[in-house]
Amino acid sequence: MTKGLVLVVDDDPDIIEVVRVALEDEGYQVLAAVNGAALPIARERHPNVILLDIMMPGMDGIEVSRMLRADPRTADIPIIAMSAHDRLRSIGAKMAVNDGLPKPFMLNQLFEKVAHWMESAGAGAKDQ
Amino acid sequence: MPPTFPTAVPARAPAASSDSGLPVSTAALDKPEFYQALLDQATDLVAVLDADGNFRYSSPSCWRILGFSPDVLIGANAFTFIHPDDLQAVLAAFARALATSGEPITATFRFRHADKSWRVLETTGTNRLTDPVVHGIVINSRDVTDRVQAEADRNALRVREQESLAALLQMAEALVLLDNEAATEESVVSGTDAVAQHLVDLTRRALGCRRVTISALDHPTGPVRPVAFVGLTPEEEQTWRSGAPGTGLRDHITLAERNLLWSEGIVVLDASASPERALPFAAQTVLCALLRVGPRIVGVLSLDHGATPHYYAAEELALARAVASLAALVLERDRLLLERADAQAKELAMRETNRRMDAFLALASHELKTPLTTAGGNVQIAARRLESVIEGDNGQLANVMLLLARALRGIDRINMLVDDLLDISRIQADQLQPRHERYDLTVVVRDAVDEQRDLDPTRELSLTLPAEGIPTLGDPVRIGQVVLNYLTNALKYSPPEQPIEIGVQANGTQARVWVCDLGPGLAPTDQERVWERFHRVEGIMHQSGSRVGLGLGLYISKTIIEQHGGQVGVTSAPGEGATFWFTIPLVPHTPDRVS
Repeated sequence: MTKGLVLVVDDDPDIIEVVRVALEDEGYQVLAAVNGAALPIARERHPNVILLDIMMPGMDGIEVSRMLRADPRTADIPIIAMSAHDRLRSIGAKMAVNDGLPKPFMLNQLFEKVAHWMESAGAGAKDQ
Repeated sequence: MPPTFPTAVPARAPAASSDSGLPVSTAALDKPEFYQALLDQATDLVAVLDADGNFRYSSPSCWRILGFSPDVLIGANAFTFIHPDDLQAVLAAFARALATSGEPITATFRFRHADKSWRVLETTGTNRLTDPVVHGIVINSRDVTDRVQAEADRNALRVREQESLAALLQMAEALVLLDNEAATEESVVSGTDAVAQHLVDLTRRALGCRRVTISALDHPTGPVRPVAFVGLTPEEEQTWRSGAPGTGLRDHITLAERNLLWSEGIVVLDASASPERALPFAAQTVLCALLRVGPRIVGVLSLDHGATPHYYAAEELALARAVASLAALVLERDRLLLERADAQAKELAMRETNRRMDAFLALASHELKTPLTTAGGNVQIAARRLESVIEGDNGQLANVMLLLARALRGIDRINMLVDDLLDISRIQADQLQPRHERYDLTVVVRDAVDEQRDLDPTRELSLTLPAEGIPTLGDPVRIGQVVLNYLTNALKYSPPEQPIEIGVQANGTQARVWVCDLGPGLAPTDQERVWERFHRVEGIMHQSGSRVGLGLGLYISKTIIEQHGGQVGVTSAPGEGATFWFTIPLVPHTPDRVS
């Protein structure tokens, strides 16, 4: 039994690790992927929430979010954009994302946002 | 009574002699001297030729008209004096005269003067060969050389005028076409050179002059810049381009001529005005026309007819003026296009710089904040895990918690400093772009105060808000940043036991936010300088909180508020605390740059 499944998409393994450990401590199940590799995982596993970094080499977060929205199998998954970019607000406004989380963040902020979008996506106790 | 008008005919003068007003007497008409006198006084040439065209008689007027004495002509054949091109027509006319007795036959032809020049004679010949007294062809010739020359000149000028007008129209069309092309520095220069060259060629053709030059004058007293020329030998071109002393017009023009040029826009310099006067290229006359755009003088058009003296007719002056006007437009267009190309190049360079700066700031932000995220996240995870295993008062572990909390505060402080540095870089690069959205100012101020209260619940923060919200336009996050900056400064520089007062007020056109502390206050000189970058007030130590900062916060705050069309300020006296305030307009205001 977990609180839900979260897909973390980031190119920095340290960030993935921090978010994974923090969310697992809170009772979530966590999957991780780097840039475009997130697309097949999202299609197959259909996570409740996706945490998506914006600045990634290769396919960046803007493109990943566009492709997630374009695919009916992933179009409804809430996306929280994460970025250390100091223009997260203006970039986020142009992306098809539900929320934004500026780096660095307090873990409480992370938990609040994930819990909020879990709830709105209707993810109860979901066993994956 | 009707008025009497003076008559144009003068009243008859008293008779000078008894013959006045009477017909010539029959007796006089019978005398050969009477006819000789008539012939002697005739202005036209009267001659008699035999059937072969030899002179049998010539009136004395041949001296005046042809430079020959009558004796020289008698016996000479008239056809040998006729211009070869006209001879055939004259022979035909002579043959017609031979064939038609008594009928006057007219012809106009060129007849050689004694000085070898050609005179144009309008001639009537009448066959009186059968007349027993005359026995010859009576010739009556009038010298119409001047009239024909004047007519030819008029025609030539008319043709030149028409050509010039057509060419001027072509110029104007060329200019219009040039303006439609995309302007680069190279295309502007080549286009202008081509048009200016066309213009001097046209001028030379239209006015039949020897040399034409156009020089640009970037400043009335500055050096002239060669633009286009025609008719200069390679040596003359070198001299003209060198602008060496004594070669330019300015070295030859008198003060009076200069004044005339400035007032009339055109002047003719004449070398014959004084024996010692010499004009450029040893020209006899030089016409100068100013190239003007409005009151600004942009250049000079000059032309000459070489060593030949030339009188400039009104039409020629008018044409020179027209060419000068067009040349002025060409140069002005050149200047404007170059300015435009320059501005475009600068704009492109600026855009590229901004793009690179933007990319750099994004990278810097990413590279600095990613490790902070990792460090902060790990410290928090460690603290949370530690918290769950601490039971009761375990001194050792509680101490580790304290260390982790300090590490987290350090990370937080570094993050804020990074934010300040990024903001200052954005201000420097003119890229601090506030958003433009509707928000409630009271909510922004209350959130900032709440955030500060959460961070340090021991400090007393007294907030005074109006009963109703204050809706306005702008960037709520940036405005919140200013409030937080004022607040952290107040907390930092005032004793921990002293309260901080925060207030918001609106008066219809603007809202005012203030943060009042009971710290050491500021001397008048510091009240202005605190808003400068890197400024630190000497002798004032921060009282609480560990964030000393880089001396950038108030500068960033001032920039943000000014971008919102507002003002910042501080009211203070040493030892009496300080009230930092800002105002922002409530009327819909567009920030300087809206993302």
